[in-house]
Amino acid sequence: MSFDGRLRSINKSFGLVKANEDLNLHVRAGTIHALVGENGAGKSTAMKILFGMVKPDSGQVIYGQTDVTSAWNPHKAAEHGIGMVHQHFMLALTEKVHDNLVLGFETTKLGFRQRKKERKALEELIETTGLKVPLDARVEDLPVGLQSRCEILKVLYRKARFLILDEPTAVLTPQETEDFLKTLHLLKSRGNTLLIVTHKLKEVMKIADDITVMRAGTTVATRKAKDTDVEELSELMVGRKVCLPRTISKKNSATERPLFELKTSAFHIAIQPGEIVGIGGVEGNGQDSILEALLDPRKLEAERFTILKENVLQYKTAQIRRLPLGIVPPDRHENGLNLSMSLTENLRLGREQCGRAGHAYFGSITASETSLLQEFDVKPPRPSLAASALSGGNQQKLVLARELGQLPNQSVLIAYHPTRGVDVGSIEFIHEKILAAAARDSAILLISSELDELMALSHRIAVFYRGTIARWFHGPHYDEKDIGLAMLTGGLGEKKEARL
Amino acid sequence: MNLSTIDLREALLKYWPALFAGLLTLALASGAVWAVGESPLAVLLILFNSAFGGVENFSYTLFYATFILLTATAVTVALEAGLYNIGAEGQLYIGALFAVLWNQAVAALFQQQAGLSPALSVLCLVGGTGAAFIGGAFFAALAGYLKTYRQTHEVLSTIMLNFIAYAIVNWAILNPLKNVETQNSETVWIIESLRIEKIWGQASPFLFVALIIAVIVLGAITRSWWGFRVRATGQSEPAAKLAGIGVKKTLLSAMALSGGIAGLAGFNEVYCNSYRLIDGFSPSYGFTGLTVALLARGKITGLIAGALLFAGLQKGALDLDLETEYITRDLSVVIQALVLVGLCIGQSLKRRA
Repeated sequence: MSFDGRLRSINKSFGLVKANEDLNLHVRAGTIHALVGENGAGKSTAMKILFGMVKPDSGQVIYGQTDVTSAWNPHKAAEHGIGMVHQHFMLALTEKVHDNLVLGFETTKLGFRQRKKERKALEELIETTGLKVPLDARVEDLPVGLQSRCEILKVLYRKARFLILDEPTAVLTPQETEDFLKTLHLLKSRGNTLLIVTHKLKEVMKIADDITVMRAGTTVATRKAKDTDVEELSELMVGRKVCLPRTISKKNSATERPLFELKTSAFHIAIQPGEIVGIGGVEGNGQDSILEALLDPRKLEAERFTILKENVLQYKTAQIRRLPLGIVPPDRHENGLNLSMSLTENLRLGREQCGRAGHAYFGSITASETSLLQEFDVKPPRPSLAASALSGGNQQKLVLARELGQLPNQSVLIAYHPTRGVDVGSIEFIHEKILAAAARDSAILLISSELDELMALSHRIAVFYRGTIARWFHGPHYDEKDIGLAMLTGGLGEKKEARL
Repeated sequence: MNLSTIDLREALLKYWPALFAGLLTLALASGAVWAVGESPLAVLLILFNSAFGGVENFSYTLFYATFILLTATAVTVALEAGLYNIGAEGQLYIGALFAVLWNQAVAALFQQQAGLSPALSVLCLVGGTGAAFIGGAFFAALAGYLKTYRQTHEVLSTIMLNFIAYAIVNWAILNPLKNVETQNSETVWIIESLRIEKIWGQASPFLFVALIIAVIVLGAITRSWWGFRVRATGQSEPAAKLAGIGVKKTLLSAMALSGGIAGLAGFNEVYCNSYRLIDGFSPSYGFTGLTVALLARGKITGLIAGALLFAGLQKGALDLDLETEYITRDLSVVIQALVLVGLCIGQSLKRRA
């Protein structure tokens, strides 16, 4: 049995920051409802209120006909048939899928696990939902796409009928996303109600019935998906007209000596000044080896590795970081940011003085740091705030401010998923920054799982497949299907073509 | 009107954890005292009077505080680099040993037991400080090396190195450095002209050195690029590595500095207090320093207040044993522990508030 979910006049502040202000949301039973908005618009807080993780200062939480506002908590929500899939997966990585799915809801008899009974129930669940996962594999061995499936199965195993999904596709590849959207449709057709929070408007248009747009802590509009389009939604989100990722005329790179060249037994990448080379591929196909090479070239068995005409094969990380080079790592939580340090301190990570003695005074916040935060629209732009206090998208902007904000002309930028988890307005800004860097004769390596982004920005695209470059594609016009095929199968035709 | 109520509320929110913890500590300690049949109020008065009442008493507290401030600063340095230095106790003993060895070297060099010129004395004392620092630093660097190049957890290595330090010092005291004129296990006395006299009751001028070191070191941690590297490494090693920070070098330098400062506490004992190295002189200064450092969380005020508090308890505990009928030295350790429990509860409340 399905039921509606409602938030009525919700107000919530954290200290002086108003996260939600007079927020109203109505999720109709049996529909897919999308909640969209920029980073820091208050979506996450709204969801946490729905799931009982956060108590509103005022307002009502209503499911079906019942006002559950008082004494609402995640435990009660689960009993009520409400499940939440978090943006950052809550899985025990070293345990098997089976155990992860039943965790906390194990079937026991006299205190002993009834694994066979559990297995039967799980197999039934997989059968009815069509969400196939290898039950005996360890979670850490699964690709992200399957891990997200595990999260959904986990919630369904707890008999949830009302699913709240926080940025479920943020870490998925295009193929995985495709599968995932199908799953959502299937769940809906089985009578579930789904609320997804996202800022990927294309996906929203594909699957949602209703779309609610949030801006600055409150809901600005609710639209039926069939009555609106991406342009209107992004305008509502940002509050002004935006240009979505678009192909911008790229200047033809001259055939000079490359600014960046990495040649191993598996692949060869050379980037000319002013050139943007895109790297596509299903995650885990060897794209990360470029970062590993940068972190410790001496461990790499490369034939040639030059950055800005310097041979860096024997360099340590500290020496590499002294070059005019920006690195946006794939995981901002792992090594992109130091979450317990302040925004200013994070901006100083990787600066020249970091690895070198002789610079004594660390100093206080400088004007250029403050303006850098403002330029990259990091919210809130308070330099002394800890990085952990920022929302995901703002953390990403902080990394970009550091790695991209101070690059001189003729430098090298290695950017992994630069717009991951970032809102529409900021994506446009980040793309412009990358193009501007290319215009100033920098060499740019763009590694992304967003095909649109790769196709819009890159002069050439290399597709990684099983550790090597399966195929090169040359712009400015690309065939999305060909690239997708290369990502999945390694592709046909010209192989490992390299250009010096 | 509205403003004052807000101020009051904020003040309460800010301080109530401390207040609550204080009251809880009092209640717990009183309960323990009452249970063995002493008057809590009387015990409290003894404790306070013995720690802070009068010049003689308070100077004793300052005497203990010098050691604790040094070891607490030492542990703080390692802590900022994300390392738990449980070995300050051992480093302090090795520091003391090196300090005595320096004295032997000076004695051998000048072939006399007294009568160095003042300038030369000062020079030798600076050298002694350096020797104690190097001794402690070297011993901590062992753990640092094991951590960075051999992946041995520093908690294990520093704890175990403590026992090695005890054994080395014990051996040195009983063999090459033995004072043959006494039955006690202690070394020969140091040259008279190198003995630093107490300035105020039991307090030695080294207290000021300890204070200056604490201020400089904590300042360097928050305000220098070296400190930034240390903190960055301590809080997120992968992020530090990506930023091009030499993680191993940073960890080693922090550990060595930590041990060196702990070694200075050994210098304080040899040159400012007993003028020789007595086996087992330290009532666990290293571990008390660890406690203070964990409570102070890198705040200079916390370090100083914590050093004074635990020094006071140290002093008060001795007198409780003497002045009451039922409270033994062990029970006074229990009281110290209860204070610690109260402080910890207060801190966790504060973090939640």
